[in-house]
Amino acid sequence: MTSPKRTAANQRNAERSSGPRTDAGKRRSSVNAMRHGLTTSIETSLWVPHLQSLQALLESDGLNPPEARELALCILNYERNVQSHRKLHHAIRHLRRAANQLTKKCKGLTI
Amino acid sequence: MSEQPTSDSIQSKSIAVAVAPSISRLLGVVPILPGESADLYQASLDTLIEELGARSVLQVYLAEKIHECLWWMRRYEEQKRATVTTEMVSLLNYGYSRQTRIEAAQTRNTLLANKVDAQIEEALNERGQTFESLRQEAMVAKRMDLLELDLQIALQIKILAGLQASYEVAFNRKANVERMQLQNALLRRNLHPLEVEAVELSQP
Repeated sequence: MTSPKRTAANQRNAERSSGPRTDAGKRRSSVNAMRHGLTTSIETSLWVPHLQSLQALLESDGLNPPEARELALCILNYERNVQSHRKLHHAIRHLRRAANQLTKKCKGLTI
Repeated sequence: MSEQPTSDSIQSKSIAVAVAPSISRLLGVVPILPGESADLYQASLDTLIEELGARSVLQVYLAEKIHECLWWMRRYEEQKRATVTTEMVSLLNYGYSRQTRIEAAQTRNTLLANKVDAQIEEALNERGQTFESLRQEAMVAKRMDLLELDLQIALQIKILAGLQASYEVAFNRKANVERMQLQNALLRRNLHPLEVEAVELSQP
């Protein structure tokens, strides 16, 4: 068991610690808890550059803008999961979820 | 007699599909793995697109994803076969010195081609095995790998079923409504000779 003296020393040390100070350090530590990034929003992921053009392509297919955007997000999420599925063993459930979202979205389209 | 597709017609169809705007092309998706034939992939994809009658961007995308699932299932099946075959060769060589071992790569290729040559026959006799017993032993040894591959196949089947269902619902809905209207018209026409009045039900 930790002695009271040791506990007090730990608390003093913890108060002195202020975490990363530089911008680079803060940026680095901001993703400390990230495991694979498959649950993050597409709008903050590396796939976001495709969003605009994909939405435009779907709009040219006769979808209205909000529907096209939602479908574009589902497609990008599915593609992200397909890519990760090949590399990550435990990404199966994320791929399954992304596929479900895509199929549900397609079923609800008003074309 | 139906006309057989010529290589020119396949090529022109592939070019037409390739020129159309595609979501996969926009995203830079590369569906084939090293060692796989891009032509074979494209030819089989074009056939599926034609079968489904996919015309719009989204229809083609869903057809591509359906095809991708089928392709992955084929890959996993091949992987299962390769896993068992490689294990069979390992079992044939297990406990034998370098001099008495059979040549692994050549034997594996022979077995993958569904052939059994004299060398394999001899090795089986020496080890007191039959072809079936060796295969069973290999499958038992690799059951966890096979199970893992089966799980992947099951996942692809699930995704495939979902994609097919959404394709049906999203694009064949109109066709189904038209089909039902035609069926109703036919029923109404058939009821007249029986002197039964058809009643139109108002929709809720």
